[in-house]
Amino acid sequence: MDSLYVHVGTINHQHWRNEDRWSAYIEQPRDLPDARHYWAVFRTEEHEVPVAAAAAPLAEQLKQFEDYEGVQLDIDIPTSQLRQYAAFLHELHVQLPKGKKVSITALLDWFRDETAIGEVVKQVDEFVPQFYDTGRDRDGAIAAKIDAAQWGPRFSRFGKPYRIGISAFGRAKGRVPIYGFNDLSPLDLATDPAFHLEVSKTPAQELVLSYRAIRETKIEWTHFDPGTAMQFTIATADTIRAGVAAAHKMPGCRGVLFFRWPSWSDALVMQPDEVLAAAGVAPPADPKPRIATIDGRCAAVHCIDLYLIDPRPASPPARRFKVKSSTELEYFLPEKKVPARMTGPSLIELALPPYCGQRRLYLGRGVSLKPATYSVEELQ
Amino acid sequence: MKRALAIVILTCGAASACWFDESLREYLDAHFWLPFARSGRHFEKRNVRRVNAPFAGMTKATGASPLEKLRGAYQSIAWAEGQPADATALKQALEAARSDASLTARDREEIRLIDAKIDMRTGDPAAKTKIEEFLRTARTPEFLSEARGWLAHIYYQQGNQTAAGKIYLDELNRAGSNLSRETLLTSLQMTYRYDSGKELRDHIEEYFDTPEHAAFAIEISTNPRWPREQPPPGPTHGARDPQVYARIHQALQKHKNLFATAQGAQALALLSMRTSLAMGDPPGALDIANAVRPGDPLRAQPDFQWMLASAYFLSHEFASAEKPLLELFRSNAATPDQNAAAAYGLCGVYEKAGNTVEQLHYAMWLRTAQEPFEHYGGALAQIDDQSVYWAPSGWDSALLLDAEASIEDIEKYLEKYPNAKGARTVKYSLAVRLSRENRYEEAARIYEEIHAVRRAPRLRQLAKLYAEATQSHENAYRLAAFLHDHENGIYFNDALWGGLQHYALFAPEDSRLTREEHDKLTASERKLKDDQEEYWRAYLILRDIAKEEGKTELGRRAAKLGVQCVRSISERFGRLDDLRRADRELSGLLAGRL
Repeated sequence: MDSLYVHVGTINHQHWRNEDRWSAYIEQPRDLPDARHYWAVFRTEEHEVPVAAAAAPLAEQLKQFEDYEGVQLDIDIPTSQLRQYAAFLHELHVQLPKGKKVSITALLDWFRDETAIGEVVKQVDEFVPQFYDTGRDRDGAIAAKIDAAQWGPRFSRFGKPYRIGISAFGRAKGRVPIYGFNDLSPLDLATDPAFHLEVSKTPAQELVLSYRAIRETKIEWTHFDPGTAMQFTIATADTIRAGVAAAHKMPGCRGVLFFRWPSWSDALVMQPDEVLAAAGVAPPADPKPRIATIDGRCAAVHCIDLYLIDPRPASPPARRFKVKSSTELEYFLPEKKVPARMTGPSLIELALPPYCGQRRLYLGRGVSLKPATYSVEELQ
Repeated sequence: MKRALAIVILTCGAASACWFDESLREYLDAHFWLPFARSGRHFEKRNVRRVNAPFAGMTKATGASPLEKLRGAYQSIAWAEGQPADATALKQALEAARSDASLTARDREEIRLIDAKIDMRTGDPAAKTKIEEFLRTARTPEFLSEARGWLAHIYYQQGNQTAAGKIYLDELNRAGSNLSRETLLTSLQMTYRYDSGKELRDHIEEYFDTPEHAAFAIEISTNPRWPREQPPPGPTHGARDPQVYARIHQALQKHKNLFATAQGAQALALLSMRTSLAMGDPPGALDIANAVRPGDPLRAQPDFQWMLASAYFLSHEFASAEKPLLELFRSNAATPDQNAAAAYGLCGVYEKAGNTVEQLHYAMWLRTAQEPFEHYGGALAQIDDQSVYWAPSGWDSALLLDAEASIEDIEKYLEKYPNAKGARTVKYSLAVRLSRENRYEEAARIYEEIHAVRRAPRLRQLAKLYAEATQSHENAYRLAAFLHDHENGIYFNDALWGGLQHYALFAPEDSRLTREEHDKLTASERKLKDDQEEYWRAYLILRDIAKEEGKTELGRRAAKLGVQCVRSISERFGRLDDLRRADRELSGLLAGRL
């Protein structure tokens, strides 16, 4: 991996007794994957430009990231405030230790004619236009289709290095709030016969799964009335391929930045190896599924958490798997909503509805009196 | 054009909150059996003589001698932490003090140490060299002790945990140390926190220069952890790496000579057992324990007893764990936490042996024992690491009394331990259990005996209604109406749960059990849910009346009250489909459709 842009902190703005206070907080993740370069990303949810006084606390916090290439600011400010943003970036450059670079993410709207984007770009070492969540999204689209001919000249005119920001994440969208501790995944709806599925694609080749309730139903604490719709948008290898191909055609483009690295429980985000394989810079993953296990650390029995590692998650047909244990199981406790059940003393069967695979799907826990190993086979 | 690929990592702060304690059958969790947690205070020798002399420059500066002036100047920066110092004035005061011909040797050492401390406080890197030089040449014991403390402080600030920690540890047990016990324990805590993390494990071999350093490093790095979240499959990120334990094991073997004395051999055995258990190798720990001859004083040590019991339990030799746990429970050398750990472990041993009376005995001991408060702060700030031994939820004893123990088991317990703490709760629970079996007279007698002033007359009244209920439908209706009017007042045990019972009934999802235990506990929980619900039991009576009476006024009354009962049942009951069916059936009767 060339570079990892690591979200390490947040810039906060507080109004307190007629005083404006800007501060920067660090939440540094541990155990980062290997990369040649690291960038410290700071975000803010404020949608406003930090004042020049905010540069000092930010620069102070950045002292903790000596080995990092520099800082990237991910601030979605209105286009009308670009001039103020340039002033802030100038101050930040002054405050930063020598040699530290500044990168920014950039909204596509900033690059239209007659904006102050040029002043902003002057103050940074790199910028990353984001081709997702552009505000013009229709029908569940997250990614914007990239037109190299339209955008390449707009970015390259500044003579500054830039990377293209491409989305590798997905999103659930619905008309009802979901109460519960976990986000809904397609599997939650696909295993409920009260939902009907329609599948479509966005112009950027994302997959859109639309589930509509055909009768009243309930998931966790949430009621769904008939007609209620839930929509899942999932980035695909085609989304990545098309984005990378477009970036290749842009003059001066330094590379592609994929947003974002999945957390352990993310069901809708592409896995890094899948992304890199789609981008053509890593070999394709082994197409065979496998079982990964975690010892549940039981004292009086052997309890093992079983995960299906599936290289072809969002594939259209329904799929069936057989998970075999090397020893007889006492019992198997399937994860809620996962259609897996014991069909023999050492056999678990899993039936996944269309598009419901996940790169890493927690199946449940197997319990045995003797240590067990597990294997999986996909049934044709 | 150089093209490169980058990926953004977005970290999501996972909010976690602990609303209430949920300990239940923790002895079925391998983490429960990990060796006891350690902190600096566990490595303190008894009766270490310390001195309490003023630090260099900190004697009250009232006179006008150059040394007094230097002390005054130094104190001005010592008390003004972080404020800029007047370097010129300090330098002048130092020079003036040094050139005073009337100084004693002790005074000169004080000036040298003040000089180094000024450098340290003003961020001059020369401080470390000056202190090291001072330690090589000075003679005044209290200044030497102080200088060692500052050197450790500099190491700490430089991130050199190993060098800092060794000095603090040595000073903790050094006769004549001028550093207070509190300072040293706090410094050790700041240096190593709970289990020190990666740095200690990376440098573990460097601690094998003395037996004390090695023991400290091994014990701190093997402190138990209670992971609440599942790590992803694959290599454990930042967690305990089994290879680290293997390295500790190898280092212990390599440096056996460090533990050549009789006392050293005991320490070596304990450390090796601790490492084996942390490695997930209980048979290895058993081998080491078995090599200790019977009667060896080591066998009386709480650590040994706990680790031996752990090794047995984790090797599924449950019955063998009883003896060391009983010894630990009765040991005068054990701390209250260790007693509690033994009691909870014994609950597990007796559960496996099917000895419910003894299981209840130790569960009740835990329920009624006074839990020490110290681990909710102080040196062991990790609540999980020790409070778990106390089963603070009380769910183990509550489930035994409410569902798992039979009425006969509870009676036998009361016979064997009539005066045990908590006997009233056990009697109250017995009365509830008898009520669920419709043995209302017996229940009423127990309630009267323990002065349960609300339940006793209620049960007397219920006994009468129950006896009359078979005489007519009207009487049966009165019985059902009485149950309906006393939700949670007859069959529900209001002395046990504190409103959290729903969360304790998770046997169907508890994967720490054998199939037999899983089926048995699941069934007993279901039975509890059915038996304790006054509305449900009233409904069952009312349904029969409504069906048998048909369209009479009593039949309609019964159906109407039955619907009310079904619709009022607490969510903890579950069986939603049965409730819907019951509602439909009685509503149908009311509407005259059936």
